[in-house]
Formats: sequence, C-alpha cells, structure tokens
Amino acid sequence: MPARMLLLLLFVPLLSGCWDRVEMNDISFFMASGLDLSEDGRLKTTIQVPIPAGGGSGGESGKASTGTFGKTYYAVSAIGTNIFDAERQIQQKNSRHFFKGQRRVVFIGEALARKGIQDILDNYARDPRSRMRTYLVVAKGSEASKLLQNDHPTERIPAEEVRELERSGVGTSVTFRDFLMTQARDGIVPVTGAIELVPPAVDPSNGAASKFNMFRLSSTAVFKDYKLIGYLNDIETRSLRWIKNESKEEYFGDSLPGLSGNIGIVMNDIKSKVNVIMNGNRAQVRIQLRGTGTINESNVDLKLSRLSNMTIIEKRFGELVARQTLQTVKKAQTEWRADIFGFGLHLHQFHYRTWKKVRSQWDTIFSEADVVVTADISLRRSGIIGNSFEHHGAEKK
Amino acid sequence: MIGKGFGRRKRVRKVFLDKSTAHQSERLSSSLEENKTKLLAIFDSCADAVFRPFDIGGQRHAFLLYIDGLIDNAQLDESLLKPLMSGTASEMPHDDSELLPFLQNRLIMISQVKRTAEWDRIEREILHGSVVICVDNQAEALVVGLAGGNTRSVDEPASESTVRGSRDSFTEILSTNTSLIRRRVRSSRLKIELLTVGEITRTDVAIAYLKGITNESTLREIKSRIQAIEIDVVLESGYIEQLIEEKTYSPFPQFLVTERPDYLAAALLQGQVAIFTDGSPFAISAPMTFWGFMQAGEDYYERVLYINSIRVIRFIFAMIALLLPSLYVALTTFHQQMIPTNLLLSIAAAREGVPFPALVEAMLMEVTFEGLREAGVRLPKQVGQAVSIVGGLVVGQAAVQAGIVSAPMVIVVSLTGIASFTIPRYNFSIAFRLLRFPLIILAGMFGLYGVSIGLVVILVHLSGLKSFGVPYLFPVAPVTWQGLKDALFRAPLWTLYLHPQTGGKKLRRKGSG
Repeated sequence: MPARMLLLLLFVPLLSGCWDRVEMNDISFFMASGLDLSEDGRLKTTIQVPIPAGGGSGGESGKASTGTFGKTYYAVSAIGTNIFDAERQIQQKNSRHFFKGQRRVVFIGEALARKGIQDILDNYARDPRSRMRTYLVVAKGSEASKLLQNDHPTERIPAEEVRELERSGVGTSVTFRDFLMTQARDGIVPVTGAIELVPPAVDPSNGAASKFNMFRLSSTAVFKDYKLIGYLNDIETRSLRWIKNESKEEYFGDSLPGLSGNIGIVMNDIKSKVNVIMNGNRAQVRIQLRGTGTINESNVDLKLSRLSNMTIIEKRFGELVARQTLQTVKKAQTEWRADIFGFGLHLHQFHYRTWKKVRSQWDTIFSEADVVVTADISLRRSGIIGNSFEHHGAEKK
Repeated sequence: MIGKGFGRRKRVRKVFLDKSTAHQSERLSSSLEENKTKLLAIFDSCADAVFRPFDIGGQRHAFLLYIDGLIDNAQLDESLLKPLMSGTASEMPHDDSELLPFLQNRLIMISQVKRTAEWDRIEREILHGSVVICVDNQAEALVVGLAGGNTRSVDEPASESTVRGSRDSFTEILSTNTSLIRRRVRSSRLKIELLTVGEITRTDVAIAYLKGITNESTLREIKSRIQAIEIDVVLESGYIEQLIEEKTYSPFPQFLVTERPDYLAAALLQGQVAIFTDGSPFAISAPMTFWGFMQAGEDYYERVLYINSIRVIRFIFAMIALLLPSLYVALTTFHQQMIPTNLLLSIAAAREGVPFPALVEAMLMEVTFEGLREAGVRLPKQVGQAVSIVGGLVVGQAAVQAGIVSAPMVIVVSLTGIASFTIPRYNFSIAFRLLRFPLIILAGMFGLYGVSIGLVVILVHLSGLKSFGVPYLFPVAPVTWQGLKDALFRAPLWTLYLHPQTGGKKLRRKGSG
C-alpha cells in the first residue's frame, strides 16, 4: 500500500502544468484602465501596462530601469461593444496574460461618464480578478486615454501617482466598493474623485516643464442615476468631506469675514453631526461642524498671543466654514437636486417610518430643505510667534 | 527499520568472529612459560605489543606486556619497573600465595592495580592501556592501569563558538570528557556508568545522569537500548545516536550533540541522560525537544532582555531558513497580487530576462548554495578561501550579470543561507535545510496552498515525534505553564525554580521555598 501511494506521488509533478502557475515574464500588469466613449458610440478601453526593464542585467549598476523607447510604461486601446470585448481585442495584441490584481485606478472619460456608467460597472463587480479596492476616477474635461498616456516627472508608472494622490487624503477618494455601496444605498448619491491634467508651472510656455503634465485631484464628480451631472470644486469638496466625516484633516487659507487680512489654518480632528427632522413635508437639516485647529499663517492685524483675539479668529473662521458649507449644500440642492451628503440616508437609518413616507419624493424634499450650519471651532495653537510681521511692534488691541 | 516505541532490539551487521580467538572461559595457568606462549599467541603479529621479561628483586622470573603508545612510559619505568627490579630479596615472602599481595602492597607504586586470572579480561585491559605482569608460579596476573600516551589536550570548541561561556571542549578521551563534566557538577549524584559497545572496536560508552533528577525509566530505556546494540564498529557517538534513536527517517534530530561541557552539564541538570563515546569529542544527550534545539547555552548566561530579543530573531530566521525561497516562488508565480506594486515591478524587471521559471531558478540556486557549503566544509583549509571567492563571484554576481538568475533570487538564497546558521544546534538546522526543498517544489506546483500543506505535514510529524517518551513539542504541545517559562521566551532565572519536566521530575531547583 505505501509503495502504491508513493507511486501516485510520483505523478504529482506531472500535474504541475495544469495549475494556474504563471511566470512573471508572462504577465502584463494592468496598472490602470481608462474607459471612453468612441466616436461611433462604442466603448474604448485603454490600459496602462508597465514595461519591465532589465533584460538580463537587472542587477547591474542599478541604473534607472527604462524599457523600450526610454519609456517605463505603454498604453494600448481597443474599441469594443463592452469591456470584455475590448480587453479581448487588446489581448490579441499582447502575448502576455492580463493581470488585474494590481490595478490601482480606473479612469472614466467625461463623455462616457455623462452618458452613464451603469453598464461598465458590471464587469468590475463580476470579474473576480479585478479588485474592488481599485479607485474610480473621472477624467475631468478630458478623455481617460489622455490621462493614461501622460508622463509623470517622478513616478515610473503614472497611474501610481494617481493612486498616491487618492490615498493622500487631499480630495475625494472613492473605490469601486465605496461607489457600489453608496449606489446601493437609499438616500445618498454617489460621488467619485475627478482628476484633471494641469501643466506643472503656472506659465505653460516654460520650456522643459511643458513636456509633461501633472495630475490634479481637485474636484468631486457627482453621479446621479449612474450619470455624471456635475463637479464640486476643491472648496466644495472640502465641505462635502467634512459633512460626511470622511477626512480627519483639512487645510484652509482664506480671508476671514469682517477682518482685514487672511489666515492659514490646519484643522485636525474634524467631525460633523447631521440631524434631519421632517416637519410635515419639509425637511429641516441641522449640520454641526466641529474641529480643533492650528494657525500656521496669520496676516491678520491681531496679536495672537491674546486669548481674546484667538476667540475672535475662532468665531470668524467658524462663520467662514459655515458659509462655505451652506453654499455647497445649496449648490447640490439647486443645481442637481442630488443628495450627495446622505441626509436621506440619515432619515433612513434613524427615522425609518418617516423615510418610508418621503422616499419617493426625496429629491424634491431635499432640494427644498431648510439647512442650518453651525461651526464650533477651537484653535489650540497659534504658532511660535505672536504678532504677524507686518504689524510687528504696532501693539494694537 | 522504523522502530515503534520502546524495547526493540537493533541487530546490526554481526560478523563471524574467528573462534580461535575466543577464549572466554580460559584461565591462567601457574606456569610462566605457558602463560607467555598463550599471551604471545593472542598478540601475535601485533607490532605495537611490547613484551618484556624481567626478574623481581633478582629472584622471581616475570614478564610484562603492554601496547606501546597506550601507556605512560615514564611512569612505567619509574613507578613499576624500578621498584620491582630493585626490590630486596630479603623482604620477599617465600610463600607463593603472599607474593602478589606483597607486590601490590609494597612494591608497585601505582594506584590502579588489580588481580585477575581470566584471559579475556587481561586482553581487554591491555587494549585499554594497562600493563599486565605475570609472575612465575602464579595463576593470577597483575593488571596495572597506566593509561596515557599522546592525546589531544582540551581545546577550544571548534564547531560551537560562543561569546560568553567556557572555552573548553570535549576531547577524544572518555575520562577527560567525564572529568570535564564532573568539574562542573561536583555532586556524587552525578553518576557515570560504563558500557562497552562494538564487538571489534570494544568502544567504551559512558552514560552520565543525575540521580534523582533524571527520569528512571528514561535512563533504563537508554541503557537497555545501548546494551541491545549488536555491532562490530563504533567510531563516533553518531553510531550510538543512530542506533538508539526512535525515528530514523525523521529529518529532526532527537539527540543533543555537543562538544561543550557546559551545555552538556546544563542538559544533565535538566534531567537528560548523556552518552559519551570513547574516541569522539561529541557527547550526545536525550530526551530533547524542539524548543531545546532552538536554545543556545548562552541563553542562560546573558541577561534576560537581550536573550529574549535574540530568541525572537532566532525564530524569525528559522522561519526564513525554512520558508523564504518557497514563499518567494509561491508569491511570484501564483499570487502576484500579494506583492506591493513597486516591489512587484522591481522583481518583474529583474526577472525579465531570466530563462528559467522561478521554481527551477530557486532549486538551482539552493542546490548550488548547499554544494558550496559542503565544499567549504570538506576542502582543506588552505584552499578554503578559493571556495568563498569563486562561490561568491559565481553565485552572487556573474550569474546575475549573465542573466541566468535574477538578483532578487540571489538575495533570497543568501538570506536563507545566513538564516540557517542562526539556528543554534547544527544537527537541528539540517532539518530546516532539508525541508526547504520539498517546500519549494510544493510552492512551485501549488503556490501558497502547497506551502501550507507542507507546513501542516511538518507540524503533524512534529506533534507525533517523541524523544524517549517526551513529546517533541513539549512544553507547547502538550502545554504546561511552568514549561512555557522557558520555551519561546526565557523568564528571568529566579522564576525558573522548577526543574523542566523533560524527562525529569518536578523538583525545586533552589534549596528552599
């Protein structure tokens, strides 16, 4: 018996060819995909694949690995009826197997996003090889394929830069998982980050720098019924993230209302509390913003070492934040009638009976809701100097 | 050949002994001439046997025989021959029966003197370094213990170095070795029993243990297994180890093998039974556990915080030695999504021009490394340098530059090689080196799934393994809280007041409380 089992074991190595072993040399890593609308209304898929450099001298002298044509990546596109068809066509151009496990970002061209992305989401959710933690990003004012072909000054793979941007917490970062979960929920409209290509210098004619562009995660794309309906700019995105408790830290550099001069503040530990009450057929939304912060820059005519002056700044800054937030909510109410903040979700979760009654006309109710924003700001530190320099020695107040 | 449990006998290579040399029950005769003929017949054609006739006190004919080189010649001349030959005739007793006691008590100025009449005993004693004196008209011979001759002195341990700890090591001489232990354990509870193994070599094998601490049944078992050995030749303690160990086909050793007396003394004090073999500077000791093999003697000499951090490093590196190549193969050929992107791109770039699959590459490099290591051990010291230069160049750089292997694989293999040296017991690290290869193959065929299966098989094997009745994974499985104080981590010395239970009894180490 043991002899027979040993004999069986001898056959095991023969099986090895049947298993899903893939050598790294036979893989094309998808670093990013881009989806666009082609001219004939079909789907154009672009993928970004790194060019692994080396060719036998991998260990030699550690020189920067640049592949063919001095590039570290290449982008391929194909036009097909759906994602699968397009990828099938790309595979025909590429002997290496596609590997989606490392995909970081999926770009969606603005035209496609406005037409609707319902159809494309299915493939990403269904295919077990693609990761739900891939970031979903709208290519603002551009085609996704353009973003995939843009060289970046520091990153070898441009998609890596976009991923890092999304992770760094400077703007809206939404993965497929987040998007689909939000989409499936009642009383909230999903958003994604929006990336635009910008020249690195303010003056684009500036020689070498104009060869490549930078990615800028500046705005938030709003999707209602799977269709892109508009963008929030960076200030509005900040407000959105604060209301949704999505960020821990925000940066403000603004003029303060009622004071001459401006101020730079880092807000840490920011929180918000949303309360929605139905008053008949009218919603009353109360948003309380809270946070503690540090003054990093002060060009205000106040001596910050005085507590009373700090209180003034806190108050004015609170007013500023509340005003910005209110404007953001108003924009969503009037322009899109889209509840991106999840006020309806709040009702759904905390006042389900009320929600059942208002669910069907929530968009209207949301757009007509009375919104009150209060901000409770405390500034803990004012930096290591007292007066600002331009008022040094004036010793006012 | 896999023995099951206790009480089995090992029958090994029994040669047909020439019956003409068998003289078990024969005794000396009182005729000097007859004895001389007989003795010379026994040591016929033994050029190193020295036969010397002389007269005691100028009256009684006598002769002595010894093996040249086994005895201390200066002492033989000074303390034996000189008093015997110059002894005065007047004092000599005329009664034959009083002659030998007279020689023993008055003339021979040597402590170890025995009388015997059995030929086989005489032969054995001569071969162990005794001088045999036969006197005219006496049916008994005097056996004078004069063992000496050229031996290696106590030296620094060659294969087990340490920063802190004693610098002596065992030699090839059994009595030196036992004395090194006795010097450390000055207690009459340290018992040393002598056995002889090997029908041709007649090797002395000493069993040392601490009475009252060692488990009696373990001791009995070890003794009976040694006594049951039937073999012609014992040249090293490794013979004994292989003949009495439980699982011949386990990669894991079941004996501590050490040339350091302080380690062995510690093992004895933990209730182990030590076995010395004459002619071998390595003593073996059992029962041992997995955790015991992962400990160095220094673990008790250095301070507790340092040692515990070192033990953590040691376990991490033991895992590296076992798993790193297989994990690398599994991750790069099956689970690319588990590697961080930037690392993946670097590995992909390095692997781009490599002609072999990762599995073949790993096996190639690991086998090369083991070959280099073996060459390094076997090569004469004078050319040892060449191996490291050629090996380092061939494996490290040229192979990478030629695009035959990738640089990450070189890193993996060299890290694995270094890691295997952090395992304190050499014979234990061999297990890790061996098991690495099946794991690499499993990883190349089934990925992480295969590695997990391999690890489960190893774990199951370890759980079933026993060293003289002590489970190999003790005290972790089966668990005892007292034992855990010195398994993965070592508690401060003052908390280790109970004797470890590996074969020992629950005894308090300290006299009080």
